[in-house]
Amino acid sequence: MSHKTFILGLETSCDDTSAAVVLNGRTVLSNVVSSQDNFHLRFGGVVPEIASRRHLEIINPVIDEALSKAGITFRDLDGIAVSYGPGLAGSLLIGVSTAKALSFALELPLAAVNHLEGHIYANFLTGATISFPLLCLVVSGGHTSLLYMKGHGQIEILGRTRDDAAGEVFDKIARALGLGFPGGPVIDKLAQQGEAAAFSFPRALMGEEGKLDFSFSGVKTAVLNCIRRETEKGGQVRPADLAAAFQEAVVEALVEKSLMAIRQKREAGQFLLAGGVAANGELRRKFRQKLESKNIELIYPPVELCTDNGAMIASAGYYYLRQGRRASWDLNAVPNLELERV
Amino acid sequence: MLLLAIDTTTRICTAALGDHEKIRAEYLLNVKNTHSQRLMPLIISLLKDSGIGKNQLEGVAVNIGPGSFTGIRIGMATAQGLSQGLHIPVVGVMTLDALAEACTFYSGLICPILDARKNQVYTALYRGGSAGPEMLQPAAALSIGELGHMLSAYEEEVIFLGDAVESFRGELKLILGERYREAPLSSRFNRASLVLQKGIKVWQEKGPVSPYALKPFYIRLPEAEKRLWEKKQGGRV
Ligand SMILES: [Zn+2]
Repeated sequence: MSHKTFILGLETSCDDTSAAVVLNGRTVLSNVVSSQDNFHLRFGGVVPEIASRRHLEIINPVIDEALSKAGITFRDLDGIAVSYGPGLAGSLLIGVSTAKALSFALELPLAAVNHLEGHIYANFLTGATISFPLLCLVVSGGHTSLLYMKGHGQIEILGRTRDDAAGEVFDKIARALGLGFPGGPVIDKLAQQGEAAAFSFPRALMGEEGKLDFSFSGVKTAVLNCIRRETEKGGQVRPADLAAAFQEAVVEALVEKSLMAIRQKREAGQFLLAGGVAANGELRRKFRQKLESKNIELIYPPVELCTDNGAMIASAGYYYLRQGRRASWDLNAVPNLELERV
Repeated sequence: MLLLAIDTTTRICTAALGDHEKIRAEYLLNVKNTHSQRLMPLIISLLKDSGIGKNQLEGVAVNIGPGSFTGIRIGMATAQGLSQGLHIPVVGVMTLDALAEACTFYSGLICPILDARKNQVYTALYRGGSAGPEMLQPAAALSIGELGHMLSAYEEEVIFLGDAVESFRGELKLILGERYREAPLSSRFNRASLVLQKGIKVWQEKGPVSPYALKPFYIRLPEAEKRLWEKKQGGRV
């Protein structure tokens, strides 16, 4: 590859259709994200069939827009990257089929990117110098994992959620409070006006020191029961207080486990936040506060790169292709794809 | 006008290359592997084996449904991606139209039936002829009872084809008696050469389109939307 490498990244794993052009894995030249929130709002959640239909309608114009915003054409590209899992099967298939067809038509190498690994690479687009080994917390609607990375593609999973993902719990609580969907941003906003001390919920800490797995079902049940109790009593439960207390319980568990990981992996010089929940204001604030005195640099992506986007896939794809990890023509979508342990 | 034709709307994964004079190559797989894994390798070997470069292609014809929702989208996303990357137009073909081409020489009624699950078939009705099948009844998702009722308005023999023949042969014979006919094996199923044949006609009559303008033909609404719609209807009464 030449010293100026342009990668087109495609991301269709859930309900956002995104295409982006990234230069040398680090510089976002364009990042077009077409949100489908309006299509799913009236159903109170993402409807897979509707998401798949919408992806097919707009993927090609979204790609064109990404190229023109980057000021390049297909001829300038050096490779294509697509997320092939985890995610909704029907949604993933639109990105995968489109990417394979384009890559064949344009004779470009194709990288099949693990969507979760993609989230980590959003940090490579922040301008910060990333150096291994590092620790990373991936928190999104479907996943909560603590990772140790020795290099590109060398991932050790230190802990993961045993039940619900953090983002999933945000959605469920938001629904119970009648706040709509998606839950993360609405709870984040509402909690700013609330008093976290108004309620005390169990932390999502599992077992003894050293074990880095999470569990969020306890806090979820406690909050849901509390909402039910208060409504039955007809009492005046302030949703803002509840949101603040709930958010604090989740964030504290994430911070505590992360600090444990930092103590275990002293070689790591950086701590990365990744995934949709990494956009949460309280999470960022707590991590800044708690890691300030520690001998580790905290890095997190800007909000627009925390949620699903093509740029993070393009960045990951750049490093995949540099390592010679090319996808074959029989690439399929893998809805339950996990991060591999090494 | 060299076209690549593809169809993944049923369990069959098939691709063909050709123009109005010749089918240059045609592949068909009716196996369990998913279309997503099979389609691109199949297209690539089709081109390689026939010695045709992808840059010689002048367009892509693709079945747009009805059929499996996921199958429709794999075929269309692939066609749209090829079209966008190669800068060539696409032409969308209705699955039942393409299938009816298989029996165009038949003088009676032609009735393609595709498995639509939920005890229904995707179907339409045509009359054969030298100019190609003429559509008498538009595409719909019907139960066999509803299809039988529709066919009772006609008196001619009806030739059935499509992947639902196997499941509904018995019921259809009961309803139609002597009028029941069945396409021979080689003319009974989706194949890309039929998409090519119909695609060329659509191209000549309506012209091809850009990959941005191609529209799928699902017939059915997504389940969630249907339920919402039914709820609204119920609410109004
Ligand atoms: Zn994600």
